[in-house]
Amino acid sequence: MKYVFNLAAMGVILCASVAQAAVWMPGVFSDHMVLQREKSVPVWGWADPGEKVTVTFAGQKKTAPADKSGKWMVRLDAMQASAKGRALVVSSDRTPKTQTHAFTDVLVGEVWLCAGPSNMQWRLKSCTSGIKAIARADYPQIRLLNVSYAESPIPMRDVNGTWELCSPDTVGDFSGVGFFFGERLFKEIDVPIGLIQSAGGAMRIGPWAPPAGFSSQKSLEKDAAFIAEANAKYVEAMKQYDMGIVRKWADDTDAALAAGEELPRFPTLPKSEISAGRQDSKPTTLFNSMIAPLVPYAMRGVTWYQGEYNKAFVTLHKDKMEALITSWRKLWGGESFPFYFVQLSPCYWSHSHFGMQGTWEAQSSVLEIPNTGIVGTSDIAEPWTRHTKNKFDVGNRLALLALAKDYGRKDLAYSGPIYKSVKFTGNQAIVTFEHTAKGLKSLDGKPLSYLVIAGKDKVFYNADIEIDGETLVLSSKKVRKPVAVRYGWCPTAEPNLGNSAGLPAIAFRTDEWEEILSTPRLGEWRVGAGEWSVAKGVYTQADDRGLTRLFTGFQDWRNYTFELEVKRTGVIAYIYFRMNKKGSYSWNVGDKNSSIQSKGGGSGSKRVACEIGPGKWYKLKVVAKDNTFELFVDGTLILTHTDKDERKNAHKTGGVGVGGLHITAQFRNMKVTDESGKVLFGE
Amino acid sequence: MKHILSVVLVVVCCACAAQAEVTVSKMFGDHMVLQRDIDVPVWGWADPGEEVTVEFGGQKKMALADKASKWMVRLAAMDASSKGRALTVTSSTGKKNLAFKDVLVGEVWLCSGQSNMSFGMDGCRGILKEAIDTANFPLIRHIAVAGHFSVKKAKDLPDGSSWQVCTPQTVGGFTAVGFFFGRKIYQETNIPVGLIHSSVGGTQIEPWTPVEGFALVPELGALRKQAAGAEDKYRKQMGEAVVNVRKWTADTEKALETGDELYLPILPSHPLSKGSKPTMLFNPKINPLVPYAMRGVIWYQGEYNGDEGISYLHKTRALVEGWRTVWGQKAAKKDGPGRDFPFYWVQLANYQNPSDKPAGGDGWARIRMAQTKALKIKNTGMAVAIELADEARPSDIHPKNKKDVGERLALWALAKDYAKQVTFSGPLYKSMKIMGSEAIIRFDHLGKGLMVAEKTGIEPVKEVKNGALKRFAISGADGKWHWADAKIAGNTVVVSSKDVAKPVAVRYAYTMNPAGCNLYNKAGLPASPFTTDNHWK
Repeated sequence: MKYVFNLAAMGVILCASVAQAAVWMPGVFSDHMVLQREKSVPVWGWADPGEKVTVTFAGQKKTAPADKSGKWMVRLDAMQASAKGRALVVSSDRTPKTQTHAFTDVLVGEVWLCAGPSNMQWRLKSCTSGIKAIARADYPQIRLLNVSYAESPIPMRDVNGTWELCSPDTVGDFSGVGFFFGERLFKEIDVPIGLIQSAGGAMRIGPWAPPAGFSSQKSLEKDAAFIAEANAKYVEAMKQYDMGIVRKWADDTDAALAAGEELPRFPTLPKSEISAGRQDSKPTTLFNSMIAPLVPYAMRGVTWYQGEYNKAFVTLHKDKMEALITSWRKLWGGESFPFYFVQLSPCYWSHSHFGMQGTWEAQSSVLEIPNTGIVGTSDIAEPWTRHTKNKFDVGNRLALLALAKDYGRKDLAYSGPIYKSVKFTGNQAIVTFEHTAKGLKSLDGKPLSYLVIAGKDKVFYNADIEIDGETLVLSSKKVRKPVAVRYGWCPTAEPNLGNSAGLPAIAFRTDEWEEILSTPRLGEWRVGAGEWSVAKGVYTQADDRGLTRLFTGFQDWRNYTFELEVKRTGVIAYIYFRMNKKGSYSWNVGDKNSSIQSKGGGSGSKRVACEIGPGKWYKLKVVAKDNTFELFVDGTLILTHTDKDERKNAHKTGGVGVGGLHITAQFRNMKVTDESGKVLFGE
Repeated sequence: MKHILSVVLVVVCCACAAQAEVTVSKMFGDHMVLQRDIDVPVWGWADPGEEVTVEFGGQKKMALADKASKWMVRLAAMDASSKGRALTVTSSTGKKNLAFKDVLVGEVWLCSGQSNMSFGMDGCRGILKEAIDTANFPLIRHIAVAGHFSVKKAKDLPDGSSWQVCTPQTVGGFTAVGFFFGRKIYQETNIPVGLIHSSVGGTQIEPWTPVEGFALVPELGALRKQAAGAEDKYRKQMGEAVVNVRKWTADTEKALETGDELYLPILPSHPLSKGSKPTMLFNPKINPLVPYAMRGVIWYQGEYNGDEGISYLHKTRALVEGWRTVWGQKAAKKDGPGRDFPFYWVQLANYQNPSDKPAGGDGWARIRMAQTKALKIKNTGMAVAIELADEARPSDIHPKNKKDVGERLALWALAKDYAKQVTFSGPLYKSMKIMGSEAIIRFDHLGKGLMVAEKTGIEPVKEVKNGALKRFAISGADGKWHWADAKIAGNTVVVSSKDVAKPVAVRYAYTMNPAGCNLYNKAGLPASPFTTDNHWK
């Protein structure tokens, strides 16, 4: 055994010394890369402390010594764009030539980082018209670096991924937004384009921000403390860890590679508390793995496709975005690079019943940070999904922003109308906008929609609208003295206001009322979506274009009976119960079938044949008791469902609601009573 | 050196211990069905050199386990047998003998694809409850192949895959399309039917295809390269990663002493391990079945390649010919199963809200054309399902009516593989002739003539006397599409529009959901959607 051990030990020492002698560079530098023009370009890596590393490129020669930790960095002077592939050579005073680097086919042009969760990751091949785009995507001057998705509790030095020429073979798995953005830029400015995709995973911002970002915001102090503590614990855990295990893995892997055998699994390293949470709440983990290794690779700016749905986080959204943007900019040397992001599209399936208005409000507030821009998407929504497949318009609109603001195309209309001011005169509200492109208009040719006004009573009504060139004049017979205007302020709205350039307006509200993040009210009810009105005790919903919802009640309601009468036409009516922030149960009422469905947790769906035809009144009743629900039509029990999955049952309590998908409907005599017969709600 | 040698010895001994038993591929088990009329491979693993004997139906075959421990015998072609018999496997060392009971001989079909093939009979409980309640078919057997994406070619099925006898209690877990297909075959032939179900929802066609398939289709060079080069590329990257990891161990130890910032090493991910990459489902879900003797394949997939046109035709060829190549079946009888086994697929059903645009071309219109054009691959067939979506829920990507789907597939098999005289296909567009302002469309598979008809749920197709054909569109040289007047005239359909003086092209049901399309042949089979131009490519 002695001999074996010695051999192995020698192997390690030999290899280790070879590794130490090499100049090591992160994967963001590779053949086919694009360097940013017109800016100083950092080039960095690691070598032996004190080793002098020289980088030559395009007639420049820069030398820097590695510091105590072995890190070295040179800065190439600003260069003009070059579509000619040239070599970037890295050499050193100690390392033999075979251990240094010569990167070939290096271009100089415009580099953009395309970052954010799944909507940015959405592959070109899965986009509308993606297959056609792939077929034409033979653009050797556009280069793609697709950073593999990874999470890490501490910052990494390297990424998985390598620069590739944009071609039908390579582009299919690349970000659709990124590709369409880069393609448009390339066609307009005709210089090489480098696109770095760091995308995927969490919908929240936290994972994308560096630790310094958290400590920069007062509202994020708790997170900063958690991160610091977790990191300290992690260092302790690493101290206890036996590195011999990893060295053995390295030896075994070498042996397996030589023998053509199956490779051993990499050993498990200590876990950090940072990585222990749910995906959405693992602060810094995506920054560490997909952004940190890129810092400070010279680039023009960032495109970003993200927004948080959860109402509870709305107020924090701006703080977090500010933390993210300013800390990224700081890491990149303090320059206020452009940061352009995408308005989240209207969506039926926002995480809570409380809508997306808060997300939009938060997104709009980010515009107060300098050099930011937003592109609207309300006109290209596919509200049945969180992942709209039309990334063509998204990418092109981002490119418009960049062309106008960063590439001197002052003539371009690059933004949809953004609310500027409102004046209330008598019974009129006069709204002015920026970015009208010399004229507001309806994008689909139909009357303008989702513009509502309210008086002091905070009850909103559809407005009568006049387009007066670049302003809107709104009024309503029902509002004597308007004090507030809202546009597109509903999670499923697909409104149609735009400008002459065909770009959609961004949803807005002029008031600062507190229930703003929720919705207009109708008596004791709150309007989730739809056009609701009430007369003589009958609640009428008149908008059959999408999902509509009216809800009421309290989060702690548990065992109750919900009675109502419904008359409807259209696809499907929903009777909601146990409705809370996490989800709900719904009774889905179709012409011939009824079903019970759980959303946001809970288990099972059941369907029964049951005639509830259109245009007739039916008496419906839901009895919710613990985890068992009974549905009655005109006094007859039609369905009983017991949610056996207690573990997943996320809505043991909650309010009630009515609504539907593509219906017009009337509801009346809605009443909720508790087990003792006490009326909790109702006329 | 002596010491090293002793280590080697230990390793070898471990190998013996691991292989001390004779094992048989998990494809073989109680209640299985063996394919009739072709030599039947039976295989497994034993100690290298060990002699294994398989006995079944009066045959006794022997084989030696090779250096890699694999053994395989071939039972000579057998006639169908509904009598459950035992198949035994014995080894020369007698360490362990296996006996499978209730083994039938009949017709074996592989059922594969994405979620509409995975869709179980349980999901049909609503409209097809009766089919479940009456599913007492002791001679229909089903095995569901477990397993998910893998870069490694699995040599055997994972645990938990076993043959089941069809009863109302077990049928809920059967693939519904497979069941209705198999039931029809069984009812018409009275021969035992074995269904091998290997499918995964939400998957593209590429992961189901072996490298051998891509290699056969020149248009798919990029996919072949991606699949074939993946392992070499990965091992090369791992070689580099090992160097970096060693550097990391040293860096980390140093940083822990000095208090410098730590970092983590990165390891390459296998080029095929992410997403729906080539071969990733062939490896775990099909490779372990090869070369289980079978009649052929039914396939329901395409939703996840829904945006494609001609590329899907190439990929279908790679899949069909790839599987045929790796199976390498050799015919033993003239009409028995052979190398180019039949491959019957389902054309994608109508889906989502109906469109009212005459031009169509949206959604799955193009891939349906590609599926139709792929019929030029030999021994293939296609069941049209263009009117089978649930009327009330067109946005359900999983239509519940799997009965018509399975039975329409079965018609192809009955006609082509079991010599039944039936009309097995709906009308397929053959040619167009322009006569003045009229376009005359001819079809293959007329059966006993064309008709206008309607289909409701699982009810049989009903002829609509004097009904008007819907969903025909026509265009002239300007490329503008107009809804057309279409009439059945003998064995043709005559298409025209007052808006088009000189027709150039015709489309039928060429849209994501051509609700209301109503051209059938008298056998009650719907015409396939088509376009006469090259838009689909």
